[in-house]
Amino acid sequence: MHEHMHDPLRKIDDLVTALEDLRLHVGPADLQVGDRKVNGQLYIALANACQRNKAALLYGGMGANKTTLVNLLGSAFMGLSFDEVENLMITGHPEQTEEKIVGFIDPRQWSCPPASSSSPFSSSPTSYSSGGGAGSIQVLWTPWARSRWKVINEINRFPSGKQNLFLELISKRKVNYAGETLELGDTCYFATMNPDFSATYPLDEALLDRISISVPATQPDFLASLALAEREKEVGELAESLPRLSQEEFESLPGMVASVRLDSQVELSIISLLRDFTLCERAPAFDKTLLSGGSKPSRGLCAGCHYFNNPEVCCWQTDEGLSDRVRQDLRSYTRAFALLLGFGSSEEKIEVLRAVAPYVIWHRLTPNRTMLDRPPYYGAGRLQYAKDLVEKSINRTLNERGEMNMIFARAVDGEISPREAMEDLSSSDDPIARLDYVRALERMV
Amino acid sequence: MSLSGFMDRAYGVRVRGKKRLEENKGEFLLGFEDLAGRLKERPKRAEVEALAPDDSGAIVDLVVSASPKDRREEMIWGLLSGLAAEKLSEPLVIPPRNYSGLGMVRGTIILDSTAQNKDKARAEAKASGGTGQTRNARAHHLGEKMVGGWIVVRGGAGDYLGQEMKGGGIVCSSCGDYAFRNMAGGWGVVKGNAGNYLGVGNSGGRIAVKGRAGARAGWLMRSGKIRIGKDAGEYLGIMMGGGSISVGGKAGPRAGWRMKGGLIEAAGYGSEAGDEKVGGSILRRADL
Repeated sequence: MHEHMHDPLRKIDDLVTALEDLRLHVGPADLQVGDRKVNGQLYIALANACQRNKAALLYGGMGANKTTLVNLLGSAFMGLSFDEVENLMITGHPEQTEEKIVGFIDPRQWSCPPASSSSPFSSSPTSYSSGGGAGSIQVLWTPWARSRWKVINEINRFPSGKQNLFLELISKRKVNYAGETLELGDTCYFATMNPDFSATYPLDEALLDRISISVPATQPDFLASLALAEREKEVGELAESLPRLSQEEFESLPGMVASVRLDSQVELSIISLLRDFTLCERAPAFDKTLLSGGSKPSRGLCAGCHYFNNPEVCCWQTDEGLSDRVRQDLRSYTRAFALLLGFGSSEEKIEVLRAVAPYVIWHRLTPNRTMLDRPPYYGAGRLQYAKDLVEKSINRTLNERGEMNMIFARAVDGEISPREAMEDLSSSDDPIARLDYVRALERMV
Repeated sequence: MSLSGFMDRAYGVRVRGKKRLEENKGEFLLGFEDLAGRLKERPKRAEVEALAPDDSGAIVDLVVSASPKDRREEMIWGLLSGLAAEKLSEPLVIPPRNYSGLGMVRGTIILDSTAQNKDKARAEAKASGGTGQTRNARAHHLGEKMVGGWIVVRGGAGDYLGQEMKGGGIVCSSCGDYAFRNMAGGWGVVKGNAGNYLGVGNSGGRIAVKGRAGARAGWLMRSGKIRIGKDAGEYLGIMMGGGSISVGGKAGPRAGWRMKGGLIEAAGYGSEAGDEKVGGSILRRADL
């Protein structure tokens, strides 16, 4: 069987080249990963397409090639025509209903004789009824619900109540309607979103947390605009020329991503990054994710705290902590990027983590207003702010935390006593040492 | 899995560590609004001090450029003005604002509404659609809770001047109500007249008013001294338990009403002086 399967990674490389050659996506190489520079919008979408049950959000103004790019990739990865992929997409607007999104009860079941397994109704290619037994309600699931390439266009145009539908869908991987359940299977999720307009609704924090990665989509720059001017044919027509992955190749991608091994250095940096953002000396159980209402760093929680205003520390610089989903997302996107770029060494994977992590976390955080308002962020550079925090955390883990980590590790392994380790760590004021390691050692005493 | 092995693989041979974080506090302060934004609803002096710049020039700039919007911000500004005065070797000269010199420990503040400031205020009022007339509003809570240092008010002070002060001194031309309320130490000089309730509940300190004082001066005072150069209003030293009040002119009706201790001395008294008095002395100067 594998003899007929081409290398999907080579096909993805061909796809990247074809998208540029056909002037279907000509974004700038704005994402530096080690010594490579790639287009962030394209490669983050590709990394998401290589995984299942992760959601990527493309955020940007109108005409920034968000939806078209995702549909082009859908066409290439699913082996469908561009029109077919476009038809699978759902678009947000206030009148969008659950029936239009996921499915509706088949009205024919009450006017026709009871369906038999051979009836044209249940065997119709367009009717995907889930009712199996007698008396069960037959639901016609929409093509979007059945598709394994789900695009939610303009997600912030869905009212808040409808947004909760996606929350359930992404986290449970199944959809319920009229008592019937549709297993969604392993699916690629993409969403697009405009900045705040009059007809948009704010995205719920819980939904944002379930969005694994988010990338800004920018308008074409001068050179890109020149290149786009050379595009003669319609997108749908040009899309026919794109290389397409076979079903087997598409299915093989998650396994290939999972086979990328992450080194201790990367794993340690990921965990430390999470703890840097989540630990808070003043939060219940030192966990910033438990904070609510007026008890936030931006509302004066940190006043007088030892760490407050210290540029080396991340905790006071954002209101939110990071959930364990972030750890999973950081691991999987680092793997996917390393696979796509052919990076194998530990140093290269750390560079991948540095490049990917800001995109995984920036939409989940509210930066400290004071810091965000100052140059070089000017109140708008949230992603750059997240990049700088990630850089600080990873550099600190790799360069400054060696000694404390070794002391803690030796105590955990029983090479030194917990008391001895606590004494050694007592002179360290690193938040992880003080709030995580010392507490763990106290429990061991 | 051995955690030491994990760490060994992560760090290889280059294990180094820095035990303490760099301390660069205060360097990110953008302005007064930023400072206020980082503080709690009822900020303490130590919290403001932790955020305020160390450099005296920077802290004075912060004080001068600030535009407190509400009572909370006024209190923060007040604490900041005290901190600024403490850092300067020469007096801090600023226009009077509510809570100037709040909790000040040392240094000198001169609160001066100069002609330049008035012109500016007039121009601003005009630009914002007003008549160009400055409101003759007095700053309140000047020198509140101060512990040391000097405040000189060039002009009149509003209400609650030197409230709860424990040390230091305040000089002003005149003051509103509740001046030096609950004063525990230090001194206050009012070159003109004082409003009602001067030195209410005092447990120490000295107050001198060159002009007149309103009603109920020295109400409930337990210790300390009040000197009023001219006449005092009604109920002078009402329910006082200690300390002394001296009035150059005449005290109003019911001076020393229900007083339990202390001394009141005046040139003359209105009706019902010392009514229901339990202790203490009420003396007429002519009788001395």
